[in-house]
Amino acid sequence: MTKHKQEIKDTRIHLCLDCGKCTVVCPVSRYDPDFNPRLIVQRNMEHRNRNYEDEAIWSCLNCFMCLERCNYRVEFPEFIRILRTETLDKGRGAQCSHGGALQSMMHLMAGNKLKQRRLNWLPKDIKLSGQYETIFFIGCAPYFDVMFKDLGVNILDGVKSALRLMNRSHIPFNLLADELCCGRDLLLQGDKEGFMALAQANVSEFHRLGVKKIITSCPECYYALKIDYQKMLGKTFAEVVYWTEAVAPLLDSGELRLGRLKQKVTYQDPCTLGRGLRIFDSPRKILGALDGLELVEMQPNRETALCCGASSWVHCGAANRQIQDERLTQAEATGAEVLVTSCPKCQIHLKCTQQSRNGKRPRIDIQDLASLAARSLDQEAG
Amino acid sequence: MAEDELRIGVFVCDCGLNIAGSVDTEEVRISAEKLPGVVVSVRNRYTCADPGQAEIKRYIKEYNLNRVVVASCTPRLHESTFRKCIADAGLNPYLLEMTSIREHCSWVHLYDRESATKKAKDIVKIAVARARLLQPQQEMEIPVTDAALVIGGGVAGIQAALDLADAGHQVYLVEQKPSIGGIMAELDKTFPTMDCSICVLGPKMMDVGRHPKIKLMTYSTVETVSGYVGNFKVRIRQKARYVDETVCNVCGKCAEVCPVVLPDEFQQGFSSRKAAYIAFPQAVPSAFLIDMEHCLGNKPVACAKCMDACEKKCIDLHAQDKITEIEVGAIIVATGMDIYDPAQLDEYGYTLFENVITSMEFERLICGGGPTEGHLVRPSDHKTPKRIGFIQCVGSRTENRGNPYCSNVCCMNTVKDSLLIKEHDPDAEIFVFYMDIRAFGKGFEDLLRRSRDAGVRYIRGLPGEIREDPVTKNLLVKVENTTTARVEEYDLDMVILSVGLEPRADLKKLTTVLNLSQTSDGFVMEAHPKLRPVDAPTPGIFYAGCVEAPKDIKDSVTQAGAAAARSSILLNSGILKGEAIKAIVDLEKCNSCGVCARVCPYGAMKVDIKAKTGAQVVTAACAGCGTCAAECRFDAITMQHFSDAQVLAQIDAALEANPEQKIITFLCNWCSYAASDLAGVSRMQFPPNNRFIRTMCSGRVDESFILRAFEKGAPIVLLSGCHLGDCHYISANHWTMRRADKLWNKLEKLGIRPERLQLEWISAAEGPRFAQIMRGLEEMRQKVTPEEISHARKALAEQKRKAKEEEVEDELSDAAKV
Amino acid sequence: MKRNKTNIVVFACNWDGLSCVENAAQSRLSYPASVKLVKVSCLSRINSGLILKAFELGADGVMLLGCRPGSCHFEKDEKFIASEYDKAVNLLDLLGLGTNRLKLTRLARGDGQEFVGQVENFIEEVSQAG
Repeated sequence: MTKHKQEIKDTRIHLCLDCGKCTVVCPVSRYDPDFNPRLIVQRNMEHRNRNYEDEAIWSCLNCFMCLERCNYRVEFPEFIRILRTETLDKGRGAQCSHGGALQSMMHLMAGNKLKQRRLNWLPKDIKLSGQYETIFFIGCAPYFDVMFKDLGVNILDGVKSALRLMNRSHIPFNLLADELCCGRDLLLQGDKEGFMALAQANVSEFHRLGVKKIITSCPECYYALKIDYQKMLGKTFAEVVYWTEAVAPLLDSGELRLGRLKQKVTYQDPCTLGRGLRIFDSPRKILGALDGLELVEMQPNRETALCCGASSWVHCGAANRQIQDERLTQAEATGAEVLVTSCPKCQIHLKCTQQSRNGKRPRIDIQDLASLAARSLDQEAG
Repeated sequence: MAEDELRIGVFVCDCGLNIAGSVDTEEVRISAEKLPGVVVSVRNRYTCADPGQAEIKRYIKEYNLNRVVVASCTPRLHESTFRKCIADAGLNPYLLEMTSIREHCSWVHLYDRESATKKAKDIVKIAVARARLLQPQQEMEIPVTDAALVIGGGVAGIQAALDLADAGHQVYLVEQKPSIGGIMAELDKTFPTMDCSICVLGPKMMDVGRHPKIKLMTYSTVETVSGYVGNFKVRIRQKARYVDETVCNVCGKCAEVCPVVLPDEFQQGFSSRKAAYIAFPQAVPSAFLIDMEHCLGNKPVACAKCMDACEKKCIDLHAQDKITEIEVGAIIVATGMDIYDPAQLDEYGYTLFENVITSMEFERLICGGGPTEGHLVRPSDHKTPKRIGFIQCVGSRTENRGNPYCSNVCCMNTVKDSLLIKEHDPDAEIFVFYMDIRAFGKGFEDLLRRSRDAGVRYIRGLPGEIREDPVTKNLLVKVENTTTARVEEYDLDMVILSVGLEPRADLKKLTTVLNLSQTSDGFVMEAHPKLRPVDAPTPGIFYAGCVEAPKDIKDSVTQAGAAAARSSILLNSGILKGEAIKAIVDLEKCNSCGVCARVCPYGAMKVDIKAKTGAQVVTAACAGCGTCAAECRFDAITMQHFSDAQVLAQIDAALEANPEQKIITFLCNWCSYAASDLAGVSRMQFPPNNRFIRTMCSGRVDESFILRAFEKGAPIVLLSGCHLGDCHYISANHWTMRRADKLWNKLEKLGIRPERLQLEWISAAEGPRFAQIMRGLEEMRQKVTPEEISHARKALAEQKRKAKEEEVEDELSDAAKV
Repeated sequence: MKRNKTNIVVFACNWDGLSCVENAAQSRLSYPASVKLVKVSCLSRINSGLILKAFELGADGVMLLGCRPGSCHFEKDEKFIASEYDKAVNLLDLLGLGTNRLKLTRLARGDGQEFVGQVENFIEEVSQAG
């Protein structure tokens, strides 16, 4: 139990003033009265030496809303992660959604020296640079498209679009044939070993190829590579950039021009990208650069945006579904035709709820930001 | 004094068995006799006792001594005793060198008599080396101007002014607003007594206005302050009121006819005033004024309706600001605080939802003199609110938008407010959402009990969000009741945000003018938080009220009394004597570069960089830290009584024999030296290889001292001082740190291992840590090889030689130019 | 990889699938001991997660043994084949494990002979894949 003492101290959990603001703003707490972040802190601060198992820890979405309002910015999501890690250390199995398919997939990727066939989707028109100084980290997009085919999810379209925009912006990049899952979901689930296996393998590969800069379009991969890898592996290895941050300055300077897209859209701030890493403006800048596009903000948005209800493939229950429903209601209330997402998980989870919510006729179309931007290029501005 | 004229007497103390028990004091006495300049060496049993002192005086007369060295306990204990002693015998008290062979030797090396004795001999040798260079000093006598300036006319300033004036001193009270009264004048009632605020303050305000010894300057600001304790020169700007306050009879006709309507700041913007206005009915001075910023103009005069309406003809639209220069001996800063603005807390909807107001706004709504004449109504529809919520800790106790500290008064203010509402409407439902209720003062718990007894509900939990009903404009407050662990939603008519207090936004201006420091919370820093709570570190300046930290009226008034008393001590003394440790500038060497002025924590160095007239020391303000002397690149500054020559002589004496055995340690008088004393008193043991050199401040330690130590063969040098932020001389140890950084680079370039120079911040309480550091240093010393030492000696000697050559070359080329 | 150490997990449905296995036993037909049997009430119970877990835990190959099309006791299995089996195959392909490690075997009731034959073939295929 003392193994994690310093890690727990670093979350500043002892500074908790017990004020309860987190409980009020937590989306899970709104729908599941048994989930109370403040009480989780109280229950788990000192019980760790006994065989106390707190079931509630699996319901956290890692959406950072508690942190946003907390007087001391206590890192509650990190505290949950440590509790989950301790549970797994004790030998208990982790809670997994989707039958554990994604976790097994990640373990298999790390374990067996497999030669993945993960780049078969790459179209011929996308240009790769010769060296590996800058790479684009794809993430689990190919796997998601397989897993969630029945939801009509097309993450790879977003990836391809982002790559085409990279080409268009003259930002050179290469792709890794042996890229492994970033491992963030395993880390958040408490499976530190699984995460480390993936992380170390990835970082060795980066070293081997001389990677200096990594661009990615998945907010989770971005967070993992930028923050988690440095924290857990103890060193920096490359500059990590989110794709909109690479593209937005070129829109400002006029070096990149996007096309025309006459639509009314609204934008879902991904929790990890927004509250987690404070990137709110560059995705909006890209939307703003589309001629004819009208952006209507959902209420709430930006720092207080509502989570899409995704966890790290840990838990999916009634509360998650209700959160997704609420977000879709907020999106529909804007009158927009398109709900733009900038995260594979947002796309997957919102589309899933949409299916059971409106059946065959969804009231708002869910599309990826990069896909939208790339489509505008088919209709160049005058 | 010429070498052969020196007649040094050394007095070695047995201190009973405290010293003699572990040091052979006779041996020490004998070794002292052989030192150059020493004419007599004496051993006493108890030097500080009457017989011992009598003996010193006898020897001074008999041997015609002109320098005295006492080797006994710590000078921090008895330096003043022996100074008085030799002064009695006709010697200048600054011709005494006192050194510790007890706390620094006998008590910390109890079990190694031979080494302890050897060290004691060295200590005496070092002391004699300094004594040879001591000069007689005169303590400055500064006359004190018997007048005080009080900046700020809130209740603290008012109280301080009255106390000082009643004690017979002339007081200048400067207030920025058109009237004195401050925040207290804006409150309805005060806790815990539920007194009407302006009713108790009003008479005090009148007293100030009437007092023959108080010159009240309102609508005025302090522009510049120069001088030093006892002799401040202050320039004050009195803004033009455009109304002669001595004539105005507050008839109010000017305001009636004035066409300009503005929000009334006194009423928190709930009602309006005119450009011609009086701050509030009970204002002192009791007179109207014209707000020229919003008046239709006086260049040319656009309107003049006020002039026409004035019966007393006391309006002059072409009045000018007046500059006054005054001389005072003491300054009391009582400028108060600002209220936290909760607009940035989007979850509470302040300024978005009409019925969310701050506690200050509530004061005006419930006050009989307020915009609604004391009828509590809510802003959206002016109906009486029946369900009211208070949210505590708004802007306080947070690192996330707001201030980290607790604002002291908000809990009790809410308790008081809840009772006020119940007084007006016993059926009102009141909820207080809190994290902790701080009811620590006299009568506070009782007031809280009354509030609960009246049915006010205290819910433990802070709301996470407020939503507004678009039709009723009611507020839906969502909060987790942490006692029941359930999230509850309250439908309230009005929400009052119990906002915290902050330092004034324009405090920086004042602290710059007065050379004051701020703590990390932004309030002004006091000299010592426990023992000198109303003194500024700068002598002659005192604090009262919320400028120093958030506090209630009782504490402000108490503090004001304290500040007045301490000012009074200063003003009554007539003259001030300062210890003679001051900086002196050699104008021939001075380059007017301005570095000394920049580093002086007291602003005691004045340099005109452009005019190149040389640095001027404001001797009375100089605290003697010596940072200027250490930073001066041109060696133009000498510290009286702690000169470069004296310190270098001590270093040379310490390292004359067996330098590789010795660790040179620089101790600052206030912290690290005190720590060494504490280690001694606690009998902590450590190896006897250290030789201590005392300076008043670690900032005094010049780069050349440290390099000299290495040049003379020291294996390790320790530079120590107060913890950062705790420096006795406010900020001088920051310069020490920077100097150390530069030195490490320099040492590395010279091929000397930088770790041989150690830097430690040691507080006076850290006796055990001091001993531990000493032990650590000895371990380090043993790892320093003879080759390293000799390399360092050569490298530094070489550098010195080169520098001398360049100097000679420069002189020659200068001469050639002429 | 040794031939007799090729780990195969057979998910057999409780009805037609299991009957094949039982028939093979009654007919005294033998197959390697490294073939492990997991009974499920219907193949539609199996999701991609279970299949991948089997591989994660060390299976070299996974066989899904069920009834012929149209014979499902619960009338559910067509839907399963359309989605979960497809998913699993594609995931295995992406992972680089190879699609031939997952075999869907649909047999008539009690066909022990065919079952053993299929198993042997499967082992052959899998061990050659390495």
